[in-house]
Amino acid sequence: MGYSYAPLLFVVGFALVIPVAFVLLSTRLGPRRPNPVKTEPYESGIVPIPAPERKFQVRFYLVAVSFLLFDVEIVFLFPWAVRFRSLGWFGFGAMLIFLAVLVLGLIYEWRKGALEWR
Amino acid sequence: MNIMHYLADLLVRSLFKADPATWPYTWIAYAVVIGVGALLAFAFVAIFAGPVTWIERRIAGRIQSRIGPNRNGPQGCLQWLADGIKCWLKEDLVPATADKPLYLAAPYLVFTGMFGAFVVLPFGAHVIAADLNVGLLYILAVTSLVVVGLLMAGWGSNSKWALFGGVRSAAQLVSYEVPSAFSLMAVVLMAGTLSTQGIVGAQGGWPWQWFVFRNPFLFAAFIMYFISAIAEGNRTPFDLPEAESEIIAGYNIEYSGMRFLFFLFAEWANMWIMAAVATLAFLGGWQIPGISPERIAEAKGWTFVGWQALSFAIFVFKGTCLVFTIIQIRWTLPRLRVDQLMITCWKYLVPLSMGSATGVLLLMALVREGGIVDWVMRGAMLLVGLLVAGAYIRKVRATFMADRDNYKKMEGRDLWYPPYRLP
Amino acid sequence: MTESEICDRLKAALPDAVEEFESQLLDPAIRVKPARLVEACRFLRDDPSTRMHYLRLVTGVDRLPAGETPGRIEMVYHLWSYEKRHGIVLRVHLDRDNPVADTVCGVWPVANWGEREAFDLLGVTFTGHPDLKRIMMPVDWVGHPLRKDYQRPDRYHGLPTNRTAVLEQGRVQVATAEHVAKAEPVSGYMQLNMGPHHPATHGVINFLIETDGEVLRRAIPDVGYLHRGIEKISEMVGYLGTMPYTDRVDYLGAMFTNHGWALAVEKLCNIEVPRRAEFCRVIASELNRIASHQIATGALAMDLGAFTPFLHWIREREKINDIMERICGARLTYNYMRFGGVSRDIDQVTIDEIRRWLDHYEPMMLEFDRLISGNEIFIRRLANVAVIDPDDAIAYGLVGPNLRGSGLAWDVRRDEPYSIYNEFEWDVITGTGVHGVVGDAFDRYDCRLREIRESVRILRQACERIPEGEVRTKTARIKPAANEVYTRVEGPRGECGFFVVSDGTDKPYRSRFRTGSFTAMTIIEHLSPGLMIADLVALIGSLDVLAPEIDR
Repeated sequence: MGYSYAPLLFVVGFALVIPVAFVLLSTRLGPRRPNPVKTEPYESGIVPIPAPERKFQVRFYLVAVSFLLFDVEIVFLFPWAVRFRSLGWFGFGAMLIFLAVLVLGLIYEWRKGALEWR
Repeated sequence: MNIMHYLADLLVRSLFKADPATWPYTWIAYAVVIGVGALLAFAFVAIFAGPVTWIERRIAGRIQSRIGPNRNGPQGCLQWLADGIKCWLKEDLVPATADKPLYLAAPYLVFTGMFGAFVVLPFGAHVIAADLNVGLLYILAVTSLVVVGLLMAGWGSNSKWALFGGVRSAAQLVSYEVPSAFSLMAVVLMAGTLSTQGIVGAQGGWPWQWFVFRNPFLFAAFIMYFISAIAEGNRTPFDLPEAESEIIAGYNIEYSGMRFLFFLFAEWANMWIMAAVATLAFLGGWQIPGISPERIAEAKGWTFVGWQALSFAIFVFKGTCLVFTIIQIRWTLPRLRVDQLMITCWKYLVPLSMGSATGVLLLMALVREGGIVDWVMRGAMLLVGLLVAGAYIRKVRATFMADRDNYKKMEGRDLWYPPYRLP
Repeated sequence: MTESEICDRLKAALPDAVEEFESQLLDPAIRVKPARLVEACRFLRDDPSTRMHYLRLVTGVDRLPAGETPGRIEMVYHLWSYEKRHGIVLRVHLDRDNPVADTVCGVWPVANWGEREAFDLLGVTFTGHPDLKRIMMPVDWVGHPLRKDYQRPDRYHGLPTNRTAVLEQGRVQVATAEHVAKAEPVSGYMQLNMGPHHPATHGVINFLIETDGEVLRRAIPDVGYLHRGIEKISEMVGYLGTMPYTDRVDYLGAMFTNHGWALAVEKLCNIEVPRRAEFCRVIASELNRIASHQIATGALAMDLGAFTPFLHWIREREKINDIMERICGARLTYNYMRFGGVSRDIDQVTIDEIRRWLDHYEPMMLEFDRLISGNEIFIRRLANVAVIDPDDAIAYGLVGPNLRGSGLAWDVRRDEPYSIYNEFEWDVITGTGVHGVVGDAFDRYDCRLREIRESVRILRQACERIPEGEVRTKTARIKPAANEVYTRVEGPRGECGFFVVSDGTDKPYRSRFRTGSFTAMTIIEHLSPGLMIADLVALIGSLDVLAPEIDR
């Protein structure tokens, strides 16, 4: 049992070691001649307009919150889906209610206009 | 029985003449073999992601009636190697105003997220690095690291266009996570397990044993999973985070050299992961038609190796077909707008995928497996699938013929590369 | 109404506004008092008998003092009425040392950029102008280049301005501070530059955009990155010498700028064009129009993320380029027209080649439809996006397919005929709101696509009917008498006008190229609020703006 998770350690190890090694090698092989214009952030090839803060639309937060809700539900649903056959009609009914609540949430979000982007 | 454990046992038996069950150093042998397995998975990622860039560019060339890269190696097949080496020789630029730790770490996160998923992909009957009992959930979880990586890249670059790309990709990837998870849940319901090998084992080698043709709801779930997978892989028509005509290059705009390459590498690897997950969950995985998994497990010596190789070939073939479809879609469709993208997800895919999971649930409760209704459904869905495939092939052929006839009119004139002539 | 009738009408309404009726000019003009200019303009726009809703051209001419006459700056306004099909030229004389005029932006919004250009290049101040600043030259440039006594500074921010001097290595700090100052920071919104080096701006154009997430609050076009001063050059190199420069005004439709320039000079000098030459011009022009519309529609598809249709059009355009090479020896900058004809005859072999290509091309046009026109994503990205209603289209001076996309059937080839276009059978294409409302981005795209078919029709007929004969009249040295003329042709980006002032020498005294892209840019700021970034890209693509045509 424990062994089945062992490859994950190796994989994470490889996934860190190999890219780091590649990047290190490339810094050795490649030139390194930074200058002020080169290291300026790209804003369509012109002097950037200074921005004191980096802001983005609140819509993105809404998406993140909806995702959180739904993803937590999904985490609940997966174990149930695995054990569905042995849970019988009680499990079936319980989860249908759970799903119905989820759907109600989606309908509420929809009606409130949280899914509109304009 | 995992092939890695089998090999480790073999190693212990033959090399040290000891019984693996009682020998005290068995775990070292296991560790070594598992490490080699992980390395092989990595090699597969590299070898797959590399040539697939070349293959994609050649296919794109055909689709756009031009030639594509054909200089390095025969038919240009070493182009990906040349590109990789070139990136090694490039300067590794860091913007002066960048948030350095975030900026530097982002490619690693993206890469780790992609690569981690390969561990649980069942490439063959016993060819799998680790058959976790939470396999599918693990894939969903570990590929979410990519979102963090992309957001870090977008935020850490401290460039406005990169920030646009970062938040766009975050919003898009997390949104499409929901329908893809619901579609996979339909499969989990059918299989009753999260283990990838278990899901493949619940299907069979013949198309009517695949989950996709089991019932209409699973067919719909497959299509929805495929759409969400394309969106999660940032591929056209959902390539908004890197839409070059809108936000130039999106989150990777400030990256150069090797770090930039890792983003592309991850994108191509991701394409394969999505195709592989679709294959194992819906298309029967590595299952060989007519050969049951038990027969493979009982086989000995070269027969065993032969079955493994055949199952590996079947899995890779199915996956590659899906990858080809993704490539063809990329070079055919325009891009959606942000609001359309979000509406497609939350107003269509999420309710529909929830509905399809519920539908599968109801069918499981009402229809007896192996009964007459079950077989009628399977037959009907198989017919639908064949009709779709047939219509697709007919359409492609008709277009091809029309082009060829049209170009025949120009015979004798020096034409640069008529589109019907394949390389 | 004729010009003199219009003058009488204006005199009757505003007796003290009219100073003189200049009927000796090729385009008769009414000289009005500077103080009464706006009043006269508003009258001509609103009066039911004139209804001049379209300001075709606004420009200025610098006149040096000559003997007794004091120097002056003449502002010229070309007015046109689509309804009544008549036009008039208004003209005001301003003091050369302190030229001040009232702005007509309130009457026609399209005057905005024209007046900015006059301010920039001639130094005319317009009172009441909403945004009077330099447009082509940098803000801190010294002098007004189109003044006749202009002396070019040797250096600008330490950069040499003549081509023999060596450019020093190092960072060019041109107009940095000024550029940043342009966008006064508003807290809460993101401001950023879209362009000059941006894949969707079709050349070096900058949009200063202010966004709330993905939704634009405004997009302000900033042009001048490709200003080469072709109008100033034309004052130095003479009439024929300007011909190759006109290629560079619109490199995708060089044949039309050639044609317009040739028409202007022919009208000034009264040169007849042989019939075969007219056919040659039409054939070359229509081939060029197909090529240009292919780039426009293909690039629009590419802006929306579909790369493949663009390359399929490029493949077809390659064949047009081959034919063009046979016709005039060049593939992009043709330099084909001459005063009184064309530079080379189109031989029978080439005409057969064109016919053969048309046989191949007619089904190929459908390929593009198959590829993209019916695509659901494509339709939804364009339909109902950036709708321009006909009134706006006229007020902002949109021309060509952009105007026709809004539902107004106006084609210079048919409605103000030049060359031999009225001899052919073809239709004027207008937007019909195929997938949305009339005047949306899809209509503009659709107009271009269907115009290609009309061009094919014209080509077929021209290839059938081309007569034998000379292709060029022998002309003496081009030396027109002092006069003024405005000629227009229907280019792929709409009306392409050439305003030429001659003074009896072999060089134009002043020339001004009126291009479709220049006026199309003015409407972007008006349309942008509320669009998404992706919509702005679709809008720019559907208007088919071309940077060299804007900046000249």
